[in-house]
Amino acid sequence: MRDLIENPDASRLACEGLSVHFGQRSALDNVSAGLHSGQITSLLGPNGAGKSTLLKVLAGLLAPSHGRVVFGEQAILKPNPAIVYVPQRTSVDWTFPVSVLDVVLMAARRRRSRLLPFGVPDRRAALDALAEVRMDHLAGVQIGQLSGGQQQRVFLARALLQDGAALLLDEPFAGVDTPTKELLISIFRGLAERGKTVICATHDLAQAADFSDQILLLNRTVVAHGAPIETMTAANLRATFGGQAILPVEQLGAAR
Amino acid sequence: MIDWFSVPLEHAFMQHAFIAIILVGIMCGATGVFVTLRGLAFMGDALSHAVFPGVVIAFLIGGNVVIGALIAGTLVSLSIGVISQNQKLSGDTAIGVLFAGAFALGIALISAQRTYTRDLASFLLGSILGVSRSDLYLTGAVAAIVVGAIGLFRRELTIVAFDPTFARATGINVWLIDQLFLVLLSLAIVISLQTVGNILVLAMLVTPAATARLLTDRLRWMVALSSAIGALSGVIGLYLSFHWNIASGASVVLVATVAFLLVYLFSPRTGIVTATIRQRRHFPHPEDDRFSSAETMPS
Repeated sequence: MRDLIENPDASRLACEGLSVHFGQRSALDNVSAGLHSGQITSLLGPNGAGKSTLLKVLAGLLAPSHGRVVFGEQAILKPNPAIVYVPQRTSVDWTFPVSVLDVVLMAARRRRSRLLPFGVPDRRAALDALAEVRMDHLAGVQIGQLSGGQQQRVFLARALLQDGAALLLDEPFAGVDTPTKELLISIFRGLAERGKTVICATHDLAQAADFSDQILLLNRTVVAHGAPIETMTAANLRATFGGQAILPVEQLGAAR
Repeated sequence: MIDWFSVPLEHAFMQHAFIAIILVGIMCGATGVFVTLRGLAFMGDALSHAVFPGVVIAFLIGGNVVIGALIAGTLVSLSIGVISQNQKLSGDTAIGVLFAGAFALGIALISAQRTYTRDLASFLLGSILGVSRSDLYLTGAVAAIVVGAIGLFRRELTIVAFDPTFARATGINVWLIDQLFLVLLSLAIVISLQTVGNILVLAMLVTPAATARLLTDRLRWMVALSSAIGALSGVIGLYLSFHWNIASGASVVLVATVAFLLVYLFSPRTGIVTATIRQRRHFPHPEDDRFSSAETMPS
């Protein structure tokens, strides 16, 4: 916390000239951006624009072909405990015999000796994180029995317990109802107000314009980056989404 | 009635057999939980065949059969790990290629021997009645290593199986945990070969774990139940084998299979028959009070 006061950008996450190639295909091309702490940045772009790829590179899960990621003063070459990554929900085995509480406790692995079981303080912390996403009443339920929105909240609770300085979320609103969306957004707001860097890939343009401090329009390279009102112009959106502009471009233009 | 239980225990070879099958039941039961959760049944089958050339070579040069099998099992599981990293080949394909190749090598080597048929039979079916005191010490030591390692790495094994992306993002070396597990699995299989044989060891890995999964939604209970079911099936199977004079490995596996079928049909929560009866009687779905642990937590 002291660090944050003396140097407000101690948890600034930046990428410099990032390129990622999968074989011949280029997924990201010369992406540079500084993502500031205390702000919510939404990552917008069509399918295949490289949103997930960018998040994985920022999380240290994928090595870029060129360029680098810098977190504060430190180059990110591998996963870092301070950078918390919440993937899309599809990568999980839902039939697995674990309860909601067990899933959240997975974030406490580093704090406990492998010789000891999780203690009351660990469970307390996990239940507090669940309470924050209003899931504490379902702590004992097997994870596969939850709805999509409830599962997303459990994974956010696990991310909260990891207590990183930066939170990277891949499509957190996919398959989630409106009340849950609003709950998630209020939690993101709270994290940003506590000085965390929140980066969120999403498809919902209108909502992103509403809750984000910064918008990064991405289509393999950065089309525009800045405050919603400056970046989400009809011209920029057309440049990002091209012909598939099924989007409320006119409305967003009117909102300016 | 008491005789039915006590008579087999009067023989030293039966005492050894009982201890061996209990150790194997616990070890395979615990290991098998992760085998079934990871969908590694084919891998288990493959490893049990792949250790064959190691057994044969050790037998031919007069070395320790268990150590030969361990070397072969570890080599094959590491090779599968390396080959399946190739983007164009799936893990299953790598397993198929290597296990058939290794098994063929074993058969080629042993078929040159005069005692071919007898050796092959004892490998395929096990010889639990020939377990010596030193075999027991080795089985006990390996079972302790396998169960101990699973206990020490329980969190990593669970996270890697449940959510591999989260595992990588929180700094777990997924490849290393996978390799560690394959080595533990090889150890469990090799030590079980003498007891239940090559063909039936898969049942000791998969059947008790599958039964336990039907009985609980909690991993730690699943491990405990799976080990208990494995050991108990072993003991009951040996009694039946002794009294009815049937092959011990087959008898043990049949008991485990019957236990699975009974649970599948009649388990209180998920049994097919139980669920039908419940519906007929218009019982409301029983509300599991699983939240109590959260609410009674001291603050």
